[in-house]
Amino acid sequence: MAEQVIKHIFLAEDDPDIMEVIKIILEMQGHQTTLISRGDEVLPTIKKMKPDLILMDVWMPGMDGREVVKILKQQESTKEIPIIMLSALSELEAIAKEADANDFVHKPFDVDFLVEKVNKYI
Amino acid sequence: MRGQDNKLQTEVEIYSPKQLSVSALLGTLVAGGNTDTITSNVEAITHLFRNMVDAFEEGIIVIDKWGRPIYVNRSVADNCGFTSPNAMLKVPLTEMLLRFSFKDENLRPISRFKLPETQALRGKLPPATTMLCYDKRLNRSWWATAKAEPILNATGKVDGVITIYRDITAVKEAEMALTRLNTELETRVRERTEELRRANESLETEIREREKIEQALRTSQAQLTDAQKIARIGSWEWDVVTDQIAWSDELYEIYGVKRTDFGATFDELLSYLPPEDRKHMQQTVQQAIDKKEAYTIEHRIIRPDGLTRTILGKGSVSTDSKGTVIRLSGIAQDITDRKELENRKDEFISVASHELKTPLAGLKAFTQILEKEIQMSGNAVAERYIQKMNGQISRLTGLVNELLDISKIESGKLSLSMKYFDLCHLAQETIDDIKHATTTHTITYEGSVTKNVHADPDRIEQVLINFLTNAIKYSPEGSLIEVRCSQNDTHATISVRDHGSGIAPDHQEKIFDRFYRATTDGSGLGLGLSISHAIIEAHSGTIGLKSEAGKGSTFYFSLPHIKDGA
Repeated sequence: MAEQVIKHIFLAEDDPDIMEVIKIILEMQGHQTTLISRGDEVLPTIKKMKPDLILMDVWMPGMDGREVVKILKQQESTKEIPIIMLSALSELEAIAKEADANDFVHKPFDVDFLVEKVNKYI
Repeated sequence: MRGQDNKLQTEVEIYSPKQLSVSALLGTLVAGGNTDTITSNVEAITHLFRNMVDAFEEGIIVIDKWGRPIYVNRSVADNCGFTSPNAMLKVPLTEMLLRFSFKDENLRPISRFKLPETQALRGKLPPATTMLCYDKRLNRSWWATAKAEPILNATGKVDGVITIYRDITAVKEAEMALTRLNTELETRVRERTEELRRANESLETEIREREKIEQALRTSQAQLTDAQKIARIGSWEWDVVTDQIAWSDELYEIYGVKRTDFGATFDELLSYLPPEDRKHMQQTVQQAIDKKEAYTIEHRIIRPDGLTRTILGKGSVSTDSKGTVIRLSGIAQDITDRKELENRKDEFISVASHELKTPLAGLKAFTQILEKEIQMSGNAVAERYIQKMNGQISRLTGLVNELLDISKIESGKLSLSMKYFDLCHLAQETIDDIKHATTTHTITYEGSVTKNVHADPDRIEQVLINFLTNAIKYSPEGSLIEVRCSQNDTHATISVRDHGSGIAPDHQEKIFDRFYRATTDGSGLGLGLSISHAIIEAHSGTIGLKSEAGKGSTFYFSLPHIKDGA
């Protein structure tokens, strides 16, 4: 944390408590967060501002996280944005691979492990 | 007419050795003449008569009024075995009476007083009588008709009797043979009728039996049909040579096809499958034929009414004496409902897993943040509590994971992310992690391998952690836990040895069974080892233990390593 460059992270998560705790963790690291609680709100939001990293839950209302990641990874304007998928689904590794996400973190997670993964991409 | 003259001439020659012509004789008699001439003529006539009477086939017996034979002709003498009539006449009457006996047509004895000649002696004129004569001396019987007539003198008194016997043995025998034949024929007809009746009876019995069997067959056929209906299982047979498929009723139901609408060929069958399932079906069946082995296949069908159903098919191959495949037969079951239920169950497990883990995720993350806060504030008591909370959260996470694992294993959905890695490195890393959390036991490690394994490292780590936590749980504090990593030509093996109480042989067999717990003390669901067992099996590895009560246990697993250390 020697380098204090403020990074902007999108967090798409429908569970308010999980959303809050991840927001706290990211902000403790000095990052700025944009919180999105519906899958179908990710794409409109991204048109307005481009994040440095996206943390994406799989099961979300409106649009499934898988679909969102696939579209983001196919769009020329967004395909370079690193995406880490988060889920309590045990087949998360396969889901992330299929959607072409950069990485994945199983829930429940160790705070330090999540921080490590986030720092790997920003 | 000349022929007739000649015949007469011949007869005369036989009966008249002296060459006397009958007309001459008669002429002489009629003309009268002198005594000498008459005497000689009477002699000649007597002689002629004798000759004539002797020539008769009929037997002629003349008896006097006392019943003594005074004349018998040659036929009688011959019949009774005498050289001449005179020889016979010399035999005393009593002897003759004892020698012959007679029976009537019904073979009842005829008393001497009832004989025609006896009756005739009494002046009666008995009718011709048929009788069986028996000659005791010659032991010979013959049938005869006897006609007796009294000889009356001038005063009308009976002077004797002349009896004429006609031998009718041949006729009688023929008659008897005919009767016998007739009787035999009747017997045969009766027997044959009886035989036919019996045959008829057994035929009727057989028909009844057959009807019973047919009824039983119909019943079992109906039961089979019912059973197929209830189980939604149809049976089929495919004649490979003629490409004709025979379906049971239920199979038509499953396919939603009428019997008349199904062309019963393999190609037609394929047409009911969605295009993406056809190739798999063709390949599976072809392979079964090529390898002459049974197969199981799951495929979908699209029924004429548009419904999609999932079918579980099983088939086996029949060959002729030369080993050529001639027939495939098997069953097809509609498993759509089961499949849906399975899918729902899988979905439920997935949702349950997600819903259980999500609050755990929140709990864990908040606790860890709290821990960091407390660490900074320097509250040692609160820090100890928070560590306890972390431990409980880990335990809860572990239990949830175990339940999910066993659900996956049960439904055959245990997925593996295969990677190439060094099993010993993995073991060392795992031990390092465990050592951090363990203060009660000393864990040692030795060994190395030169070849990699191809496995899911997370799952293999899970097995090793299971071994290590068990060793910690079931061996006394302060004791040693020894981990060894080794290899042979084909496998890499990791073993974990503890110095606990050991496991009795009867527990050893069951220790990898689901929900089995060797002891009632200690916590856990009793799933750890059965999950480990399933994981190692899914890797085509082996898992086991060696243990002796009181001397500790050694749990091990082996994984096949790849050929050239890839």
